[in-house]
Amino acid sequence: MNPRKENIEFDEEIGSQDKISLTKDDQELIKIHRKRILQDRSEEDRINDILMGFRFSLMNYLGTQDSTEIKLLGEFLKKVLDQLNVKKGDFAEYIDISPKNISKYFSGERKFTIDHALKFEQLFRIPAEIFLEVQVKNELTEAKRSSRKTYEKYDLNDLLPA
Amino acid sequence: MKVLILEVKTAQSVKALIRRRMLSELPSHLQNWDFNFAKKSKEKGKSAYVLVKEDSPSILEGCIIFSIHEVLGPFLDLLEVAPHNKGKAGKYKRISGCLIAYACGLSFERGENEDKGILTFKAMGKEKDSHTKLEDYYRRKYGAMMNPLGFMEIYPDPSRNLLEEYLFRNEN
Repeated sequence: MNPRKENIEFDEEIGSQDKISLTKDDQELIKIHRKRILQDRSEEDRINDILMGFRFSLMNYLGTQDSTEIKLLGEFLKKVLDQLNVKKGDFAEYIDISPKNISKYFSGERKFTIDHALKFEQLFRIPAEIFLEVQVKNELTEAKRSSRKTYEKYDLNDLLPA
Repeated sequence: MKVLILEVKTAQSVKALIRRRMLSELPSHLQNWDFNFAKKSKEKGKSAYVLVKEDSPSILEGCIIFSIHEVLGPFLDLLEVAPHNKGKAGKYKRISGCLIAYACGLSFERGENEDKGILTFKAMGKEKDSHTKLEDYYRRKYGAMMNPLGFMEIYPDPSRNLLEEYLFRNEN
């Protein structure tokens, strides 16, 4: 192993290759410590933590450049609703979708609209554009995957005056 | 995840992104990194992520290994900035901040119950660096606190601030 270089900043290297082993006493100490932290958090804080995870997962997905992966907006929504203990049917009714159709939206068979995205913005405190961008990203990925040859023939030179 | 890092020479922001790594690209001592990410990433439950510039996606600027520890919850196993970014002569800054913020995001996404939004890590210093010095540094820079076992923890509220500062501020 190379000798450790002098860290000017402590955070240029964090952690250790060594495995962490904790005794039963250590585990108990952490359990008590974490319970105490959780007790200090209000119900609103806990909901905000779930929403932060939701926002991060959407932003993270939008930032990926993997052209093979498709993750439906419905999958993200289902996960956050589960964490919030909100039933699919109640959610559907609240945003004016018939409960018997919500599965079609979650499966991608139907697309969420701008109207839905604006409602999500209010509910989840995440900009409406983010929800729409997830759908557009997926549609583009699917179109490129299935119809790449159709689009490759288009060339600006065909349009320019000779 | 799109992020902005800082080019030291010009003081300009540079577009970068944090993504999951391919095994073949993980650094080790062979590339003059101190940690062997390739080896660590093979352990069960470990996920590796790299930070690269958008215009040079094959050059690693920083790397992390993240896992969910059975006791400690969301855990930052390893973080290292690339050798060319270390110290006073480093090319780019904000690498650690972006990677720690990203790991905080993972702690919100994957942490459960009392662990949600809490990121734990082992701060590393030299023998002569006191715990107090390390704790002060991480408290000032990341809002971290030391837990009863000597690990640093970033709790949900400071984690949220880091996400806003390093990740979400880049949203257009």
